[in-house]
Amino acid sequence: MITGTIKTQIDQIWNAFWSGGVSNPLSVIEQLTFLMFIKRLDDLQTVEERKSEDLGRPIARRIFPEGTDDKGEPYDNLRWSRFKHFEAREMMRIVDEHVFPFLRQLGEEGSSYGTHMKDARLGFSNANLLAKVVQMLDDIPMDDRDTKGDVYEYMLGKIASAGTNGQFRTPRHIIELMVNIMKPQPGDTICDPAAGTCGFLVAAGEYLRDHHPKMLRKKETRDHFHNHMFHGFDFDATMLRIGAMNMTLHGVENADVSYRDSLAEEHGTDAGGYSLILANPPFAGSLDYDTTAKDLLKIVKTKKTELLFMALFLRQLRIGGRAAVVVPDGVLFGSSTAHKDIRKMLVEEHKLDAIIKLPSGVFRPYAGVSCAIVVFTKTGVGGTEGVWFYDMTADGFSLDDKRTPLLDAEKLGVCPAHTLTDEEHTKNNLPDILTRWGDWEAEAARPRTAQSFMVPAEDIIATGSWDLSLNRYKEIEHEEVAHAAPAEIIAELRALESEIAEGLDRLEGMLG
Amino acid sequence: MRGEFLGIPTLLMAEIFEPLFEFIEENDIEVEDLWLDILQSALPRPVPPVAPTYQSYNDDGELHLPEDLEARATYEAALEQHQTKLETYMEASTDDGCARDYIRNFFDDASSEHAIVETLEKAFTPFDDAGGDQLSNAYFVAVQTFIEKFSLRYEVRRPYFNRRMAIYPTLPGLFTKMLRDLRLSSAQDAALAALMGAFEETIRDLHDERSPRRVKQCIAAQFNLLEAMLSQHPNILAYNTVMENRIPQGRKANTFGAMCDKAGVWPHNKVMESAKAIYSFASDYPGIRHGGNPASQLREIDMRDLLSISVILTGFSPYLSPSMDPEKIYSD
Repeated sequence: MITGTIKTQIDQIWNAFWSGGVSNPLSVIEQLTFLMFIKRLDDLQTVEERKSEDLGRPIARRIFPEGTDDKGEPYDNLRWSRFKHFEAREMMRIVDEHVFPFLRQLGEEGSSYGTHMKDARLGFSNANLLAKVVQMLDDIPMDDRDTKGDVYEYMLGKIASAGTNGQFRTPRHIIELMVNIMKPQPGDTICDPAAGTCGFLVAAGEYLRDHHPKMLRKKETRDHFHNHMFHGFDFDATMLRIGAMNMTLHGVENADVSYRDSLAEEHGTDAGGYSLILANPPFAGSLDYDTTAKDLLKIVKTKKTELLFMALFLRQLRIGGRAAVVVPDGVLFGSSTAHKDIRKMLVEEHKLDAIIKLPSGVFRPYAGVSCAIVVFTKTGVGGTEGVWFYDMTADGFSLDDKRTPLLDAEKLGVCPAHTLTDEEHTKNNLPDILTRWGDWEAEAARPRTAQSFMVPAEDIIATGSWDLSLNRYKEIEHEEVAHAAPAEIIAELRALESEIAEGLDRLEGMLG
Repeated sequence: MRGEFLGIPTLLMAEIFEPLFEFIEENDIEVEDLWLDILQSALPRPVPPVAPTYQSYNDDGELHLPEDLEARATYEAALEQHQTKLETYMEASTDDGCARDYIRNFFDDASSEHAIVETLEKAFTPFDDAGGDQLSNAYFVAVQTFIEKFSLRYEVRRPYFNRRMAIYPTLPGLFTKMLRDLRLSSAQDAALAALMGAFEETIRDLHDERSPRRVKQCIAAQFNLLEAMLSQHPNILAYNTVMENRIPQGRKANTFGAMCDKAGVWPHNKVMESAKAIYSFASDYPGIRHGGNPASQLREIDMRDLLSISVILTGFSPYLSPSMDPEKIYSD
């Protein structure tokens, strides 16, 4: 966890950007990402130089070449540790005219450091602001992985605007819930085809570090963790940069975070390539058939992005692969052929495990849409016996635009420090979901009036539309209400009327 | 034949879209989330505002000029407004009922004629996708009927090269729009507004007496307006400033002919010459701008000349007035 001091330092950086005229939070985070990337390049080279000195060997990988760049500036001046001491205008000249072109060159060359830096641009021309921010960033202690990741995560929390393509940041506690339900394993290959800031992949990585610490001690599993385990795709260059940086700062060295329009491109290369998919894809918009990947249209003929994403998950998962994904409610009960086809596939051809209905304000302030988490396993041969439904009514935060915490910090999230009381449970259902998850015998015994229950696959198939909306199966317990006998009510009304008549008579009398 | 959608946007839902949904019900056409599809295919997504460029920073790298601070505040307000719009759009993008409300509000608050036209054109595809020819034809007819009913300046067609629908501006609509734009741009300047007023007054005078004298007054008033417009053209103003500052002072472009020469707006010399020639007519014909040359008069002037010369002169106005936007005249 980062301390209050570091939070204050980050807030100050934010204020510096605002005072300096960079007021769009997304621009601020993008500029900070560039600067942190520049700093990291220098750190990496410093480590290499130390190693070389200690071992008495030449530097194995050199990021900043020896000599000067094509404009005659010594490459050494392009290093953070060097230019941070320069006077503001000189720093601006170096960063704008030399460092950024160097970043773009790294990106063009396809170097593993600079994949997402092809179109990097310094977004402001304010020399004093640059000097101030460089100094402030330099002052934040980011030596260990935990702090680095948390610092960046705290910064990401400040992005208050939904993206231009309908993406919005998934609340971290919902991600945490989904990751804890899926329990990623060291052998998993995890993908998020609409990765955004890579929140799911980061959370999965953290889960693995916490629950499988040995994984990072063995060379083979460590190599898998750093190079082959995480795959995130997006078609927004800004998000890719942020996502890649998020992974790097959370200690995943070489995650595959790359540009891909997941619904438009054929998936020949990675079809069946992943064992776990965690995603909250954008579900606003429809595509033209012409621009949609043909392999997805073969699974389900639709223009709706939410259904195409479901088809994509099925395509990308390997047999036995699992997925936990957020979908809009419409996917669960929509009556078009495409909607039914997808649900039929999930129930009859694969193994649908659970539907967790989310409260409708869970994505506020970005979008007030009703959503659910769908958990399923790709089998290709069916296997759905019973589907677990959970009606989440509270996630620990108010469901209005303000999203105010309803409990103390230690009682929020999936794994709170203390067991929640019944009253606290009504404000935060997440720990209860995790407790109930997997205890299928007990869940099967619960009545349909409970917050969670099992529905046999036959009941779902019997609807004829493979309806997966919770309300279809949930039974409401009606409380018995005692009403007076009609004769009593009539007598009461008559008494009231005569009282009114008497009152009117008196009033009339008073008026003479 | 000259109206615009912008004048009656609130009727679009009631006259075009709602009846189509009744048509769908009456004909048992199976559609799903059609409002959503219309929203996603036809309506523009909210566009974020562009960040301003600032003029100066103090030693702490902070904005300090009042105009910069104001620009930032304006940008932030616009960004917040954009955020609200985006959230409304996102919410509408996932619920059919919300989508209908969003479309209604979009038309009610439409920012430009072009935005409505483009949306109506694009809405053809979701109708076509949902109900094939039966529904898309009904939509086509609904738009066509609307245009005819309210005498809008468009015609609606289905181009042979695709299955979509296009709404084209008509010639009368184009002329009307051009004249309206001429009035609007003249109204921005007191002198031009007065000349425009005088021109329109002479047109009104014809109501009681359509004599050659009145026709001549009318044509003269229009020439005065065009001449004044040209004298305010930025190219002429710039040229005259250079001449004035030259030592010794150069000769300014003051006559219509000289201004035509220096305006630099003509696509071809012959177009410029025709402008000059028609101007010569007004100078040469007895009693329009001057005493003129009686020998050059071939016949007495009449209402034919008023119509013809007025159309010709209006035709030159897009050259002479830089504030008229030809793109907008055609499509907005």
